Amino acid sequence: MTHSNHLRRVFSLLLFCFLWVCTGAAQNSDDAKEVTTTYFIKNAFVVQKPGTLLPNTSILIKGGLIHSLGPNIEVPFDAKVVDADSMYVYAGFIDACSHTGIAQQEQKDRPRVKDPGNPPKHLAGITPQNTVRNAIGEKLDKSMKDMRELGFGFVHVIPRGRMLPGQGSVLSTGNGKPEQTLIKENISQFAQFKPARRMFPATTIGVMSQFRDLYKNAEYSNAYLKSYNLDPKGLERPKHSEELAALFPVVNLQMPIFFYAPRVKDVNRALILNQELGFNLVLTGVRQGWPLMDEINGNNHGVVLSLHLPEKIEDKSKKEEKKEEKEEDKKEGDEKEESAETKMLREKKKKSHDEYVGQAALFEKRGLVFSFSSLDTKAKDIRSNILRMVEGGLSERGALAALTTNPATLLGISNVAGTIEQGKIANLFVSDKPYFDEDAKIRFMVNDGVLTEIEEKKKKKKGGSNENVSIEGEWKYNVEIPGNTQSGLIVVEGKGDDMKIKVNSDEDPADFTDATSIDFDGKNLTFEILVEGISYAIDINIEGSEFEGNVSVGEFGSFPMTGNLKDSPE
Amino acid sequence: MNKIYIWVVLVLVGLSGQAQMVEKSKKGTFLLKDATLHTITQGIIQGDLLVRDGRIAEIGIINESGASIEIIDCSGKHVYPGFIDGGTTLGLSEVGSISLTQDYRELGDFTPHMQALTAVNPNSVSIPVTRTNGVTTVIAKTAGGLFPGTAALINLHGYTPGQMYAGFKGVQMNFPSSGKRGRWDRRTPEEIKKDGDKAMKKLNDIWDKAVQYAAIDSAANASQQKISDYNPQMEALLPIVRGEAPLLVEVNKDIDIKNAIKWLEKNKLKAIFTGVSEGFRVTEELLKSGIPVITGPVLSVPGRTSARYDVSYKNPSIMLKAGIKVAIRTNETENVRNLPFNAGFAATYGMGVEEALKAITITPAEIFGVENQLGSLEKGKIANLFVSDGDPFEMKTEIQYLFINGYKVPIESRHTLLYDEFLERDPGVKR
Amino acid sequence: MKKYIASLSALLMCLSGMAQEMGSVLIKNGTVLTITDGIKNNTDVWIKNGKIKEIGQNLSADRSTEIVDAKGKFVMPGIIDAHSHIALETVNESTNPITSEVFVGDGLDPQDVAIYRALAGGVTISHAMHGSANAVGGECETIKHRYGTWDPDDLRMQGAPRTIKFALGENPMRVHGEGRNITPSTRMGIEQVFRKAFAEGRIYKKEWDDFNSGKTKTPPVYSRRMETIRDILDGEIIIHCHSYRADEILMLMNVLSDFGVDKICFQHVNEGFKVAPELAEFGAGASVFSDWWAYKFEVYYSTAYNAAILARNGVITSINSDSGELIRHLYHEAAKTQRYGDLTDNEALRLITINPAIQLGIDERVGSLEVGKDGDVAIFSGHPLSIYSIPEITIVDGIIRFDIENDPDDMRIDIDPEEKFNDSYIELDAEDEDRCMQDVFHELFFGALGKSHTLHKH
Repeated sequence: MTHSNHLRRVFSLLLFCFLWVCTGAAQNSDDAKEVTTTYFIKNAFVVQKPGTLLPNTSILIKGGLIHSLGPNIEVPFDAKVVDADSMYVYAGFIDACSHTGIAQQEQKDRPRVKDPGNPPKHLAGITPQNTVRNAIGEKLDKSMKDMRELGFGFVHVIPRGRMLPGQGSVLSTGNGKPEQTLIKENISQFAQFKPARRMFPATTIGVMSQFRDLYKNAEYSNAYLKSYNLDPKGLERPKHSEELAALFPVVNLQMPIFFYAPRVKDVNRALILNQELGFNLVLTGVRQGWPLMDEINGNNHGVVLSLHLPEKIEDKSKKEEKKEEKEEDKKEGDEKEESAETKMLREKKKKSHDEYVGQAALFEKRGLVFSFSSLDTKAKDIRSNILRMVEGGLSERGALAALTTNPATLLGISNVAGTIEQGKIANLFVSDKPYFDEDAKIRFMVNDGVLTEIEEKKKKKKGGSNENVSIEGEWKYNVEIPGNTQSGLIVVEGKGDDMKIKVNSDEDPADFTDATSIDFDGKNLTFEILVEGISYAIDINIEGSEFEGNVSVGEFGSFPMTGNLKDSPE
Repeated sequence: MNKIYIWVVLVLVGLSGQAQMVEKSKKGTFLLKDATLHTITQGIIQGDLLVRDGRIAEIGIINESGASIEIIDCSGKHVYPGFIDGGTTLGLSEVGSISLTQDYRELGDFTPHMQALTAVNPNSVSIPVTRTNGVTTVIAKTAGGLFPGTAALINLHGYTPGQMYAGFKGVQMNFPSSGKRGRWDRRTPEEIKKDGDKAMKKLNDIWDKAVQYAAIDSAANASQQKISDYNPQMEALLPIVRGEAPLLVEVNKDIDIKNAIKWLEKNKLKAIFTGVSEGFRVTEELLKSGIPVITGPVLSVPGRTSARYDVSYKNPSIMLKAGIKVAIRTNETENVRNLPFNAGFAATYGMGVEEALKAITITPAEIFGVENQLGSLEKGKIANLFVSDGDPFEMKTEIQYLFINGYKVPIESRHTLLYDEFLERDPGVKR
Repeated sequence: MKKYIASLSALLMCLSGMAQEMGSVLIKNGTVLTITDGIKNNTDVWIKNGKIKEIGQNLSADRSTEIVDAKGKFVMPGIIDAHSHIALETVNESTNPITSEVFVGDGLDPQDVAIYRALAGGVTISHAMHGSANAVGGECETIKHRYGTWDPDDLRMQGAPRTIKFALGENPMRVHGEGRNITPSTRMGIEQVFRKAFAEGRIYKKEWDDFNSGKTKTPPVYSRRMETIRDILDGEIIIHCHSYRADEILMLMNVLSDFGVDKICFQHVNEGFKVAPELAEFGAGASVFSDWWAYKFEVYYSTAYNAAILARNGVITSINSDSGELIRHLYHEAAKTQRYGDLTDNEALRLITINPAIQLGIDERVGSLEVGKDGDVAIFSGHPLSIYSIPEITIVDGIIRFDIENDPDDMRIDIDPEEKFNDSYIELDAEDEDRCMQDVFHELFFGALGKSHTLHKH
């Protein structure tokens, strides 16, 4: 069909492979060095573990560990004292599964294979041998910092990819070099129902089938290798497969599979595979698991609920109402029936919304042990979503357990993390009020024994007078088009009325196109570019150094667009 | 069923180069005796009907005879006026997946001068397949952009488009839609709105120019001059701008229907609405506008997943009961033969048989301004009619005789011919 | 004997079946179209715990049983659609000419409103099929329309035989040959895909037999694809083959004969009427459209009399939908065989009840109203073959799943918590569909197949 070809061509023009200019990678060497790494948090309310509040307690941190805690600890001479009177100390939260710290993969040219029925394993998304160590590379992505500032002390990080992206490792959110933050390596396999792009497995059902094949063959290979190692005489030499070898710990039940299962259908599929093959299953990123709660409960699977929630409904319905009024230009009396229907639809939507928000409470009520995952959740929504779940019936204690002790157990790190106890890793945070107070703020973070004071973020002015906010710099973008992701750069220069924007694409990094119709209100940025007579309208919301939104291409429709600031302008 | 035609030596078209003998349509004088005549406009009459010179020459008790009159005994049988489908691509497409056999969509967004009638293939295999179910007349329409072309009303018999032409042509417009274009449309609501606004802007721009062109044209006529530019698009729109002819406006979603009404009122245009699948949601506005509706297919899924399962079945009756003039179409190509069944479903879901019959006979005839020629059994009208052994909405019923333009057309199509050949194949399995 | 088998298998079903919901209902005083045992006037049908317990007059059930008054109404077995794609998230894994490793049952979507709309047309069972992009497609799933559930497993008809999709002609030729330069690009090539698959399946079977019996020590590579082919060779899977032309239908029957496979139902099979005696002799089923044709070249020489010719030549024939629209009125589609071929009422009704049940291998359990069979029933306001009849109540396993009187308008289950009501309308007009995005990625799946300008997927 010509449309598709046309679109592909146009997108290829838009997209570019650009040179990664590593301008800001070096650490500032003229910053003053920390004078001490001994800290004394004085006189705080210490939430030692869910349900245990120790008043008037001080904590001594030394050598990256919680050295001691109690009401009457002496202050060592070299300690930096933090007066935490009336403040609350919590164990660093644990994100039970996310890509935190791993940068979005750069999209190279869409791989083309001659025979899409038999693609190379890595293009098909089958890389179980991949590790977080490899995936992170030299530098942690700044998402790690976001999590740290939200009170998270540990993250179970999993590589990005498709059906079997690789193995997960637990990282401390400390500020060290990547390898220094690794707490426990290669503890899990991550799996998802994410098809490959235009090659096998190109669909969910293909992924299901491929998964079974791999698993069964891993079982056979593993068994054969064992007998070969016992006595190779008369046996053909085993054929080595990196992919299968990486699955041996899984088939030996030494390593669980964290299966990404946001929707009820994904949960069902993960359960099916589990029942057939018998691996240790951790359902991960669950957003809509309540309809299958009994099945999940009955089989003692690990459960990691998603921190993602649907858009809050109140403001939205108001917005929509306004829009409807405008559109329908109501004047006649026949709106009654219509609004009865709309009202019914609105109620159903609200009910659905409430079910998502109330999932954690329901799981708690049913006695299911669960943790939380920040996969697919915007950093800025994490805390408010936790509060929404509490509002939806989840106990504060339950929420806290899901953020600390439960994931510590799940990930096998409760000896070093999850509670504030002597000898554990000093990852904790100090909040000016109880965490679940609406206006509580995190004041201090300790990560790997290093204390950071968190500056209060300047409040943005409301009311649209923010067009002078600077968003100068090079922004990297990804556009999801069906079966493909394309990326490139948006370069912003100047601000306010002087703002200039140009865009290039992978295919031709030198070829920048200037944008027109630029409009920026401090958060929302819109502009248009014209490539070969086709107009691309970009509409994105910028949050800190990240943005998301979409690009719409004439009659072809719109595509989600995400991205982040490549390097902050100095 | 068609065993009376076993004398036909049947050879498959396309599979063999041999010449075939085909029963031809026959012109003449036909007297349908002792029939139940469903006149549509004058109730149900027991009596005779005389076809002569292409017209219905007489209705009542007729005692003519003579060698030139073919008498057809219709006792126990029913006579209906030929059904009229208010929207199809019949004759404009032969094989769905082969674009070179499709002639209903020209390039471009603004092509009102494209004439469907030009491309109607009188020998399309689909035409006999259609008429043998009692459908004698259809709108053959174009498809595509904002102004895809000009549709034409045709009778399903004739060797040239000219012979088939049934007296109505209409410029078509696809009113900009605020709905998704299909399950695969990934545009956000905001983008859909933006696209809609863009399309409206384009539409208004075209219309401003059309109005201007009409003014210049009038001035030119008044001063007996000629416009020097060749502008067939604007030329095609002249009768619409001047309110001399109705515009066929395709519109489906509730809000779009309301907006289309406003737009037409603003520009003081005559119109016929087509599609109108959510007409049931905006009956008051439709009634007030006085715009007639050609709706369908009735056999279609609701446009919203939240809608009751049977809204498409009920839509025609809800509009009709609100006082709107409603005709029914299939929007089909090779299966326009399902028109009576679409009407049958509408009848079952609230419209009633009598009104559903009108919706595929006299009502579309009125909408197209050919009610003096077509749409009912009345003396003097064109002899488009058929004889059946029962209610033509019922699948069990057989259509037994068919007349178009007074020609007695054989009840025969590729489908019946294949049946006749293959029901009892010889040789069977064994040679 | 038959009854004995039926109740035995029913018993086995009960034992093996999951905790699927079963209900009890007593339908009073209807005109009962049993399909296999004539028409019974003024008769009751009593369903207890999901099974038909009794058919007769003046029946009374325990007090807790729901009573449905069917006076003046027609009671028939739940309609069965041998070819559909509703309730599926994924239809085609189109990356290879053979994908016998995939199973559409892995992609069920129990929240698809199309299931409810099918129920509202009296359809209680459909055959959720893989698409026709590949010569050997994926395994299919026979589902019961237990709409209202969240759990995909609830849809599965436990105990129904395995089925697989094959495809001949233009679709696999276009996707693989034209689209990717990979055999098959002709009907010759398609034949060889089958021959290769079956031959390799035999080798695979032998390799594993040798390994399992200890003859060889090294495990062969496990392949879901070949496992399935082996199971076809072993007669454990019924083939449902998308087909149109007479020559390709004969071809597949020849291939199957060579490999000793005999369980086959041809789908669409628009030119089946030309080889009806051969189909009958082979024992192949035919599941056809009532009147679809001309949407591509291989269906240009079709006839709506296909079903009638096949049925009258002794081929087990059914009428299917392959469409979320047609599935809503299969009773009407079946009735068209009375215009196109003069089938009797019972012959026409068989096309959507017992015949598709035979084709799916579930005729011991469903497809007619007999004691011991599943309590799947459709109740119509009049005779189901009349255009003036309205489906009013549909019952699956003794549970009322569609009730024209009491159901709300909006029957969605999974509601997008971020939906925008005013923008939920989808234009179904053909020309708009053609312009839309589907071709970009849809092309590879089913957009380019069949009637590309509509939603049809056949």
